Amino acid sequence: MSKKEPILKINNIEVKYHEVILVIKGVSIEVPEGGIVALLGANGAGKSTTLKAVSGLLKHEDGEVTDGSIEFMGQRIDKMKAERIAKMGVVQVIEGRRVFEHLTVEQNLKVGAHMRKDARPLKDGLEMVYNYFPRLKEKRNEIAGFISGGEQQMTVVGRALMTNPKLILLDEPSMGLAPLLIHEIFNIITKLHQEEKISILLVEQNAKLALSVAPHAYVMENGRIVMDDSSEKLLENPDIKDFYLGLTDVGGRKSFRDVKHYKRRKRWLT
Amino acid sequence: MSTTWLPCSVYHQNYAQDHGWWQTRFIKGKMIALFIILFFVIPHFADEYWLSVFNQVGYTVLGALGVQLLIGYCGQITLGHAAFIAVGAYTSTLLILEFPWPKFMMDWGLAYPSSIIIAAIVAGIWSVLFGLPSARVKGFYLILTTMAAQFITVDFLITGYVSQIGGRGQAFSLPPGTIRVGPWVIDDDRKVYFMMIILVIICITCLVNLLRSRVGRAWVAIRDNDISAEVMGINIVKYKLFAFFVAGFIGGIAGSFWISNLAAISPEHFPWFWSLWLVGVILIGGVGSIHGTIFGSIFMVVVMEVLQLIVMQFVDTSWGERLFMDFLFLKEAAFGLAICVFMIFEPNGLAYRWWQTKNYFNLWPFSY
Repeated sequence: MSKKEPILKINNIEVKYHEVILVIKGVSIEVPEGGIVALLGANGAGKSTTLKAVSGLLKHEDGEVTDGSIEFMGQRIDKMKAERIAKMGVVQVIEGRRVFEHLTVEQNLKVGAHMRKDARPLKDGLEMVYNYFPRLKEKRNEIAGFISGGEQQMTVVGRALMTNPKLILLDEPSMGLAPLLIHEIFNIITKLHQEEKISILLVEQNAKLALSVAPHAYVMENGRIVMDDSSEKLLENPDIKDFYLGLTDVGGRKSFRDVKHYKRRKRWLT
Repeated sequence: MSTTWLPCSVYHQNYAQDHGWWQTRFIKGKMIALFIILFFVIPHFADEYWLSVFNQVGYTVLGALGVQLLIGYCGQITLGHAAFIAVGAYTSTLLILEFPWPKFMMDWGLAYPSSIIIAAIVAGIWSVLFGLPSARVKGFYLILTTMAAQFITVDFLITGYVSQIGGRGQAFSLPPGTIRVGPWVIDDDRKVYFMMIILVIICITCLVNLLRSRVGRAWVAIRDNDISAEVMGINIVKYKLFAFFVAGFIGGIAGSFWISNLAAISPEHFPWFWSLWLVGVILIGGVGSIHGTIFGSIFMVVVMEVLQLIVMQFVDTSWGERLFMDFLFLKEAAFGLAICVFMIFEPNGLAYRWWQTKNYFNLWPFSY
């Protein structure tokens, strides 16, 4: 095989909640080693569920991967426990800034280094995180529950970095943050990707930003992948423009006929 | 509890200072003063009655430490901790009474100290057994499974079977001279006091150090957000069970320490109410704080003693006599009232007030 093996290969998976509710219907995603892949989609499309399927968190919500397989570096992980998967180097940044709010920022980061037993890499890791997020260094002795939302998001991303991951699953890093802060965080994410060679699977509502960061993207709707292409092509796509980027074709007013037209096409797509 | 601010004009310049036990010279002085008070002033000036009060406080601290660890640091609510204290006490007693110790162990007075260690381990394992459901259930459901620990252990196994060993009937009494640590025979309150203070210091030091390590961080991570903790690669079940083990271990130490004061034990010393009482102690002292455990224990024991003194004043009157007869109920009512008042006016417990006061003085001229 001349083609490089992808680091994460989601192969036609099907996810059911409570053994009856079918949420993901045959999703296949590939993340190349050292690449960024974005996952777009409306609310309830199944993006977060896909990430949880990868990181093994589905069982907390009584969900299960009932079909297909998930391979990480050639090894099947869809039946593994979450902490085993984390040990293999897949770490999810859960949406909604789940810091440990009674620990200080530095203790939060140290929890991230839980899997590293000795002190030396812990110190290097802290040094690296403080390098990327200088703001965290100033706040390191503050209680994480009391710092601002942007700083909490930085803490959570930093904590994920401390695990020494090979693949980060980022779930909506921009949620509820000011646009400037979002830019800062995305700049850091691209920098991370370039310097640390970490692969990233990014779920994001802000399609424009996500497509500017990721060279390749998948679009999900109703639990299926409806489109998958390089970002330049997706940015040119009239449907994406219309529904995710908020631009109309000719810059004129939107007519209901077009909407109906898209709805019909969408039905055909799904 | 949160970190304390440093006093004005004190700055840390390196990690060692940042992580030091005693970060300023004032704190060092304070701790040395506390040491002198605990080891010299109190045993020298307190009379037998006050020493017994202090022993009661120490026993409550040792018992509540495990509850504090489970509820305050690992988020596993437990209402059956008296069971593990009972396991510790009974293991220790049975070892002293029934176990054929080698002669040199008896001569050097090592039987009781080694029985404390064995009792602690047995209680820890017993606690892990009842911690197993925590792998599956959380919150209210876990409360019920820990209550089951109480009823199965104390009401069923100990009352029904363990107490019958040796055909002594219900109560085990320890003959004088059997409780011996090295050359000292523990036979009065002053000696019990010294043993108590040493055990409390050892247990608190070990627990606080454990809480500063990666184990402690994993526990707090599980308490704050168990899903995030799992994503960080923490084996949740393992760490929950380890928390149960440590809590049971300290409970076992508490139990086997307390037999030195009681000199006779029966299942009535470990009622379910005592489990509830320990939870009340940490609620009043402050959940998630070792200071809180100590403050809560002092508060509860002192309030009960004061209440008893007040009731004693009225013993001569006819209604006072009834009050005295009903003291047990009065005690429970006071316990309920204290919890209510604290939940409403001081939900963070006494430790929070202590923290506020400390910060007020640390930041004193420039408190902004």
